[in-house]
Amino acid sequence: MVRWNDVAQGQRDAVAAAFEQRSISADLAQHVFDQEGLKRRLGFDDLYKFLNGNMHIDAVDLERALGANARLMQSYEKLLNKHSLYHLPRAAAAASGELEERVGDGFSIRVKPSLSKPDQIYMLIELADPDESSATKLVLKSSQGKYHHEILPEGADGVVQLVTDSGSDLMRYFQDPGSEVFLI
Amino acid sequence: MTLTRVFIATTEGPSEVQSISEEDPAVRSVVCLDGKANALPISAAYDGFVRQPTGVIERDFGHAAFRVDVADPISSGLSWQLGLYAAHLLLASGRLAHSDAEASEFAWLSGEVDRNLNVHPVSGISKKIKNSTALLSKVREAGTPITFFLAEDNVEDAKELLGESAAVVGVSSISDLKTHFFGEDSQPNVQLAKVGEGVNRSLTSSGSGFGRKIRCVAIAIALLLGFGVVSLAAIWNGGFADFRQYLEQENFEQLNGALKTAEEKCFMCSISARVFKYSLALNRPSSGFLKTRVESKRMPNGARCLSFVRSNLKLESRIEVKNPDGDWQLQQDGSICILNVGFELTEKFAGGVWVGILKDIGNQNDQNVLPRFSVQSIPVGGTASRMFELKVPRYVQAPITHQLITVATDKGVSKKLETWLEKTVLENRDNLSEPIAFLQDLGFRVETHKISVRRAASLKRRFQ
Amino acid sequence: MSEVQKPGVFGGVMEGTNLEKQILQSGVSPELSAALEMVRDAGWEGEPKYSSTVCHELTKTIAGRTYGPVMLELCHLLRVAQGCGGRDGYIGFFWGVDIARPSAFRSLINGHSEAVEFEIQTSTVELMYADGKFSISFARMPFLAAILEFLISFLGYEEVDEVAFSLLDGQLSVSHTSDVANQFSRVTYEALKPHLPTAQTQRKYHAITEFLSSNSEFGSALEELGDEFVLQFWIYASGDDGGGDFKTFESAFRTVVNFCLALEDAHVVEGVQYAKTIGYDRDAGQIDPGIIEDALEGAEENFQLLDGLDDPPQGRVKYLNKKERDRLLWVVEYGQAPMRFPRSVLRTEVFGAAQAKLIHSLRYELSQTEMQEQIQACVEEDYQRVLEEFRLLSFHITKVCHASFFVLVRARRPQAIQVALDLMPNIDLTGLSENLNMDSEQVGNVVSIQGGAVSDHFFSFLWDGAEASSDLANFLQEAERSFKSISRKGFGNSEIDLADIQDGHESGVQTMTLISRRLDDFRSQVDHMFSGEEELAEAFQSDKMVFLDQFSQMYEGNS
Repeated sequence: MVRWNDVAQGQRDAVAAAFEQRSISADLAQHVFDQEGLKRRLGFDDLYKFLNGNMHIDAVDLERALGANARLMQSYEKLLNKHSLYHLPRAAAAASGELEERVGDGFSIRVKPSLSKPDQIYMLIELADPDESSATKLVLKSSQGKYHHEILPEGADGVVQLVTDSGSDLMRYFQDPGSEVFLI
Repeated sequence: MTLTRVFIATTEGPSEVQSISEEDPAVRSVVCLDGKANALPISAAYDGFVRQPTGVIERDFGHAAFRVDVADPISSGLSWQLGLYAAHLLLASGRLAHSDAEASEFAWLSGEVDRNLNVHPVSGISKKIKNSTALLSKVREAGTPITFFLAEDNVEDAKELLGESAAVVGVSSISDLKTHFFGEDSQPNVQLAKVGEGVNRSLTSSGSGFGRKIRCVAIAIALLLGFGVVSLAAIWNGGFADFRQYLEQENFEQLNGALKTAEEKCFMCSISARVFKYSLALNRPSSGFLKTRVESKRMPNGARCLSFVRSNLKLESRIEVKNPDGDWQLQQDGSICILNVGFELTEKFAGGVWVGILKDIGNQNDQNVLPRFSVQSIPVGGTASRMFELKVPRYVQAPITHQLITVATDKGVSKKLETWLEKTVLENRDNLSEPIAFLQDLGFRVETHKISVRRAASLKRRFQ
Repeated sequence: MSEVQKPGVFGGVMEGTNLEKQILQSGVSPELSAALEMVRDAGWEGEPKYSSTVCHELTKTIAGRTYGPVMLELCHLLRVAQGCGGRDGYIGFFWGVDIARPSAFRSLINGHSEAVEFEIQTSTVELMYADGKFSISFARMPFLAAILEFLISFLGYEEVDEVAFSLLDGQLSVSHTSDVANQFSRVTYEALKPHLPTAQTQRKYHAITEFLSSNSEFGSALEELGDEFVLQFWIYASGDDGGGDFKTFESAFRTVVNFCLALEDAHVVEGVQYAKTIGYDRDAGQIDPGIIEDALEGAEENFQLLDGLDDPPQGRVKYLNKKERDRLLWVVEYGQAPMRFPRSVLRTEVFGAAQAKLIHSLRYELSQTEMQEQIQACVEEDYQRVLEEFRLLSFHITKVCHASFFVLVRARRPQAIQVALDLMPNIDLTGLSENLNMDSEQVGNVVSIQGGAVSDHFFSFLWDGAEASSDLANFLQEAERSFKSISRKGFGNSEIDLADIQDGHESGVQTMTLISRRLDDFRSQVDHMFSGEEELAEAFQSDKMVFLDQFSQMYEGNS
């Protein structure tokens, strides 16, 4: 027969530790893993797949998820910074007027209006090293910290070309001198 | 001036070229969808097709960047090259119909173009044509002529589907294309007679040759002969030539389609079809030269069949008797293990015979019953026999019915015919009457029999 | 470390605030909850990346707060991952698999088998260092991947990458890897500390130990803590002095179970001693040893049987619906608890539901009289009804197991033989053995159409009514009937020949057999406790009085 009052302090501490582990584990399981019917939460796994072009995430959902979780936003920025092929920080402070070209380390982006459709623009992304694995996504981060994503088409000879409307989000982010550019 | 609307064939349907415009040479050429800022995936390849040194458009037309707008997506491949070259060709001569202009003719194109402007064949022609039916209906309704431009090696596939009367032009190089658009009328490999017209120009021009002196008789005889010739010609052109070609090439599906269409299309066409069938029926083999026999192998003393059989155990053999309908009906009391079905030529037969058994899997769980269809051929001049072994389930629930089919032809049975027969029988296994009727129309002798196996009352119920 | 995020911001995860309150009341912080949810929700095309077993192991590890050994394994795996992850290094490795299975990681590593730093063995990867070796099994990799995913979700990629950088950029040695693992462990411990419901857990621990200390009746024999202890503890702890942790009987019961298991973990008592005298005299309180053996077998190992039913491939077959799972929770998922506290299980099932109704009605601001009426009417079931439900569940589980057997026989899966023996241990297989003997004695004479494998003979034996025993024939017949009578996912005629459904049955029937055993053991235990329906009814009435009285004390004053 074992009496509780006779149990030595060392053993009591062991019981306390074991109890804590079991109790917390059960709480975590009960309040997270056993919940059903909840909206799926976007996580790091999704962001990585998204940036690699293996998953589609609605711009609105992405913005909401990043806005709601500071750590997730930080992880996303780290992913962009660490895993992008090319990165262009914000344009020079003195830049004014409409930007027609932005040049980064190893790449440049130029825009030219269409001769046949005046309200459409060609955006040409040129990579200095066309042999490098081609970028599949263009990400622009505005000066307000919001993101715009564009899937890149297949390029040739190190040049990828997009066609966009002159008033599109893509142009608006590009023209923002405070925006950063990432090519993934 | 003749304006031509260009359609680029795709497997999802033809895509109309809406416009081509010059762009700043500093940008890349692009193919966009319906005037929107939506560049199609083939844009990079199109730029390569335009820009030198790889491209031909800049070299031939002098400008380095274009924007093409098309009505429907073109996702991949290079078969659009012929169509876009043609569009550039017509654009340069002011004959390309943009989407807002009225066209007096349509051009449907599919082919690859190399740097030397040779035109190469592409795949998927059948699907591209089949998915152009909406365009073809529109063209037919409006009465606008449409010409199909393809590489030489793709022409046959196209004609098989479109018929001999469609305007199908085989081009081996861009110069052929240019000649068609800008050169003289009479060209090799062009068949311009429209569907339904039924009268060949060359035949109408042949016809006379009797002297004036015996005018009435001569005219009468001439008229009679002429009528005969015209009738024959009409029959020939009503599709007979096509039917014969299909038959010689053993394109049975196309033949079946053509015969059916002919009967509905026009009077001469249906006559043509009937004459064709009649001519074949003359060569149909007679019956009686092929004997079919069913032999059951049973356990001795009515014992139950086992899943495996010791080699020193002899099964009893019994020749099963046909019923008055010419079929077999067996009762499974558990002792029938195997059925042997035999076909035997009883006399020398100068043709070929194809025999098949369509097995009813029914409720069987025994995987050894597969495959569902067994077939063999007995060659020309053979007196051979063929045997099939069928395992019989011990626990039959619903009746099982196997179908035996024999097809005899005065010629040999080629591999192509075998393949088609097998496919046709499997696809129509639930109702073979239509394919049988078609085969008989083609002069084949077709016979069918059934072997039914039912549970005997004495067999203990194994499952509910 | 970044600032603690304000509670209540969940990025669209909840419908309403009930869950938020629940989480806060449990003491689990929103940030911790969010990070775990991201691990739970990671996946591809509807299939979760991490199995429920891995997720539960993750919670145990987090709760255990001794991260050293796990971090050491993870750090060594990071080295392997960095070399095999392609352009994106270790990120490309861990997030380059859609579903975290040992085989997926093995494929990635096999693709880099020319690496000099590690050797691929049958079931492990061996890392070679100048100062030693380290071995990681493929089977551990899904769990380690889940740990890393959790850490990135909780600490942030920046923080984790700093640690990874210091590892990968540093010396290639066992000692350096250990140093980094310890650092990682410390960072994790400090980060998690404020987020774990430690205070609440400690409160619960103190409550139960104080009750034990002050109550000589129970504190004198820890081995004999049973149903009465649970009830009295709840009554004590749910009162005004007890705080909010033990308002529900279920929470008190769970705390007692965890405490008893903690006593075993700390070797204060040994598990076997919980069994009463081994013998067979029920009246003397003795227990069938067979029941105890069965209960002890795998008691600790298979804690997540119900959750495991969702993992592929068995997740493709719907063995149990939600209501059935909820009913089975206490019987199946708490190890020895149902055997040791059977009456508490019955009390939870009956009075737990009643209490939930009363808690729900608190929001309606009822008058005292109305609340009294609610209390009097809250109990809708009795023990007999619960046992009847268990009986029906047992019948259902047997039926689905039989149906699975039918599927496996049809698919000719060798596993069917074991399933037959599990489900019908006394089945007459003499006919089979005769056939097998014939085959083996007369090898030269046998012309076998099916081939010589035992399983092939078994299947032929099954289908051949004349040779099979009537037992086996009837069993198969019943199995087919069972299959046809079930209209749940995985039991359709159109699905029976699909390989992934067959896989689901092959895996699922094992789990269901274990569940069936636990349920049957519990029912036997209850049968032994009560001599008949009358005694059961008396026990129920007695308990009902106690519970209603307690509910009155708890809730009438709140109305």
